Amino acid sequence: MASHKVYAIFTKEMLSLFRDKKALMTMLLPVLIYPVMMLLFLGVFNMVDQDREEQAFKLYVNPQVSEGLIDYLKSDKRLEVTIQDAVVANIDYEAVDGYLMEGPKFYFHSSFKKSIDLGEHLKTSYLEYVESTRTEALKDLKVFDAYNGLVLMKQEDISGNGDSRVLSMLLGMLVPYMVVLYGLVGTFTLSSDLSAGEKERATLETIFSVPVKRSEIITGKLLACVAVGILSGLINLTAMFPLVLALASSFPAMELTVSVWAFVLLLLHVLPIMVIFSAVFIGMGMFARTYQESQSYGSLVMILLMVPTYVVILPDVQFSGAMAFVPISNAMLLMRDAIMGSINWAQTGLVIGYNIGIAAIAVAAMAWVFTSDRVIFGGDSA
Amino acid sequence: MIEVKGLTKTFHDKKHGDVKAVNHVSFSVNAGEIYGLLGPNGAGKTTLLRMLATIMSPTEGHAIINGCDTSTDPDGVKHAIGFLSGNTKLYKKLTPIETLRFFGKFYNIEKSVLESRIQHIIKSLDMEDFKNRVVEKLSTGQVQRTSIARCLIHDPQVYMLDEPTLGLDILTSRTIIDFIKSEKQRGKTIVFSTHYMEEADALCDRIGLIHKGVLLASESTEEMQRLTGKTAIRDIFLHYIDSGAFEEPSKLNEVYLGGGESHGKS
Repeated sequence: MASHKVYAIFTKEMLSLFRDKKALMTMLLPVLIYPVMMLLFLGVFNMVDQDREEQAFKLYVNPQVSEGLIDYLKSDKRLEVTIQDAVVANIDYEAVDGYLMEGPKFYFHSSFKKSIDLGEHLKTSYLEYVESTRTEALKDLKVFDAYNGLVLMKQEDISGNGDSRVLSMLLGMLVPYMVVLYGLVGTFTLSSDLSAGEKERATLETIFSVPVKRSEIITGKLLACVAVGILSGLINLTAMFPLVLALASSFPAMELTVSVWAFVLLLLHVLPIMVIFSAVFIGMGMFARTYQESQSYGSLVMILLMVPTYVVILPDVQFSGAMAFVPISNAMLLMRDAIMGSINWAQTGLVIGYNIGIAAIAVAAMAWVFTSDRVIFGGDSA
Repeated sequence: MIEVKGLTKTFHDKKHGDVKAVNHVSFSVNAGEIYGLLGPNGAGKTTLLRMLATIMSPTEGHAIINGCDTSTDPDGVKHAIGFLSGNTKLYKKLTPIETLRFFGKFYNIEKSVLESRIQHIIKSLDMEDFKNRVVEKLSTGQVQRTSIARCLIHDPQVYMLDEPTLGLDILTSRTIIDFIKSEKQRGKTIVFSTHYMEEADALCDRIGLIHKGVLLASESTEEMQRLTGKTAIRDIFLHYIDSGAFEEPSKLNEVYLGGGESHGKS
């Protein structure tokens, strides 16, 4: 195989891609839209949250409710308490959000969100009231310390960075998923153009008429597709990065530390996965007669290929013996663990080797398709 | 220069069974000759040329082109030929100069030689005005000149042109015709297929008549006129069709071609 010929085909495909405005937009769109969408989402979320915190609830309290509780409720800045002996059936829930009777028993109307929210707020407030009342009573009886010694279970996080762990877990789920998912989209977009698109545009016969082996042509195309897949994934990752930083800075207690090795391993894991995706899509695209037909076939396959990527966002799925032999899923779990700070080199080597083997099979199948005259030129007489 | 021996291509079709697109075709082309493959649509011209250009593998038979066997040395064949057809389109996102550089890389031409050759071709085909414009923005005539330039880049000894004037207007067709004539003057060998009988008659030294995959005759126009008693190439072709020769290729060899050798002038 002549490497300069493979390189010529690779650079030609990349040049054609970068001059194709539509294809470029598909790849770069996340960089433009993603941060805007997330900022909008965060902005709206904060506004809703702020509104929620600022809103005061109107609460009717029956005079039969204990004084202590009434005083406690009046001290809550979010409550406008009115002492009112009301008939439950006659309460206007557009004017008041709920009614507390002795028991205590809280009446609310589930058709009104504010009434439901008041109920949730009162649950928390009441528990706090009960706890503080109990504490005061035990202190008066001078048995508070003894009581706590009997019933209180203390918990201590020895990692010393509980909140940071949450952020690492989030990144561990999102980063591999985004990189692989958008890599899948990138390879799918380009592969149809490289295979069926070239058949449709009748440039395949042109390249076949020059002294270049079909294996060299298909290798150049495969490399271009893999490069685009990795690029798409990395572009999305880069687009996410400012948001991750903004999130981390909103919670000063969270210290985000991800080792460099995690990113190296990310790339090593993603490479054979992109080869698998590219080989499958290009090989399948050669059976299609037009770009549109290839896209139709590819969409179905893309849905199937997305399934193993979901494993990383499912809770409590760990890398295990059986999972090691599920291609793509195996790498997703190890990438997640690496980002969370847990790297097992033996497992990593096994999985990368295994996925390279799967990729080799996919490439061999793709090469066979590309060398078949029947597939390239069809079975009809010319 | 070109020896074709028993080339056959069978396609397997689910509805129609085995279809022989090219059926034991044999002919030869001498150096410096323009040889025309003449036949209607579906005659097998494109398939035959694809096999000669080693784009497609034959079911049986082989050819020797400029000393290279199509079955054992396809790369050698591709180095020796320039192939142009209605199906050899150009990459739309490349400029003509990028196209020439791209295809030039496959012929192992030294970079400096390639660049000077590219500049010479651009000048001689009058491509200066559009050499840096992407192909999708070129006119039909400009695209055609770029396609011709692509064939010239490695200065092949043999040109294989599959219906090169199909769908072109008279002015653009003239570019092709002029190209064919100028290359013949340079001593190149040209095989081109067409279904325009007058075009074949005007350009070719010898003509191969092909119908339903069978080569009916391979002679100069004068020889065919003598053999058939007809004058116009159209009548000559219809004479062979009416004789039913394409249905019994074995008889064709005995009766018309004298055992597979050409009778035309060398």
